[in-house]
Amino acid sequence: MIIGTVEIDKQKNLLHAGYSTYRLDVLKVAKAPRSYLSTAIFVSGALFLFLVAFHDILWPGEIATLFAVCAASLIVGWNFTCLTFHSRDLTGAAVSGALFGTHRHLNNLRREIMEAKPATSHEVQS
Amino acid sequence: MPLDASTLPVSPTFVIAAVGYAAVSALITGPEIATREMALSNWQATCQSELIAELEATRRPDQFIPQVPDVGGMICAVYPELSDLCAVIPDPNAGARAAEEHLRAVEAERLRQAASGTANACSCAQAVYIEDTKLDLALYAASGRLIMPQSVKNRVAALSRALHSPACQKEG
Repeated sequence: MIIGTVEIDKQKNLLHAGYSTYRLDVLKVAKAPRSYLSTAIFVSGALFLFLVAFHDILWPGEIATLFAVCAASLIVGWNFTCLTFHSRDLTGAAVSGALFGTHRHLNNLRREIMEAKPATSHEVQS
Repeated sequence: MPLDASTLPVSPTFVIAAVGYAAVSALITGPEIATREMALSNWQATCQSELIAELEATRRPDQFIPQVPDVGGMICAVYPELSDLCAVIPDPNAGARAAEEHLRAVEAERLRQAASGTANACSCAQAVYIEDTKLDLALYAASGRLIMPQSVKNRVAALSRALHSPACQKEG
């Protein structure tokens, strides 16, 4: 799943992502790391600690809800990410949050974008 | 100078999550955990019984009424036909007895009214305790009982202080 639309125009050397358009030849690096995983681990860890510590005074519904939130946090953190680009023209500054979506799709898209680049320096990271 | 999120050692979402967790601990879970633990320890009932015991200790001692013989009453008890005479001879204890009964009734009413306010005083103490130790309770809740500040460790003493604070003295 990718939030928004993506179109790679190899002929015109353009990448249309959401409401932005990038020139493929100036994109130096594309990254799709699991950006939210550390946050998800923190949130689920904190909630799990809370759950274990105060289980004696929590209602069953609250315990179930906390378990569900912990699991959902980890699932979202593992799967959800954003694709960021680094441009030479922007002196290395990241165009963060260019595209949001699931890690699997964005990781494939990252490869497609870099493979569609004109034959200059390809630097791909994940 | 504007803050550049990309230069932070942790991701901005991590910072937002940590701040959110701290805020939830301070505003929601800390006070709620304290309220539930106090309910579990039955502090409200203990507090009320202690206050009532304190009130009973202030009860005015009953006054001794000297027992002077009621001559008129005794005559009437033996000779009912002399009721006119009995009415003429006054009971010397009547005034003192009536005054003492009135004072005892006033005292009982004072204690009853004071006892009815003990629930409010105990609730006030809980509210004052939660308000005064908000940061301690937030730490306690956020750390999952790993950090136990003094006000949480000695909760009964802290509640007692809150109970005797000026804010709650008005309630009692």
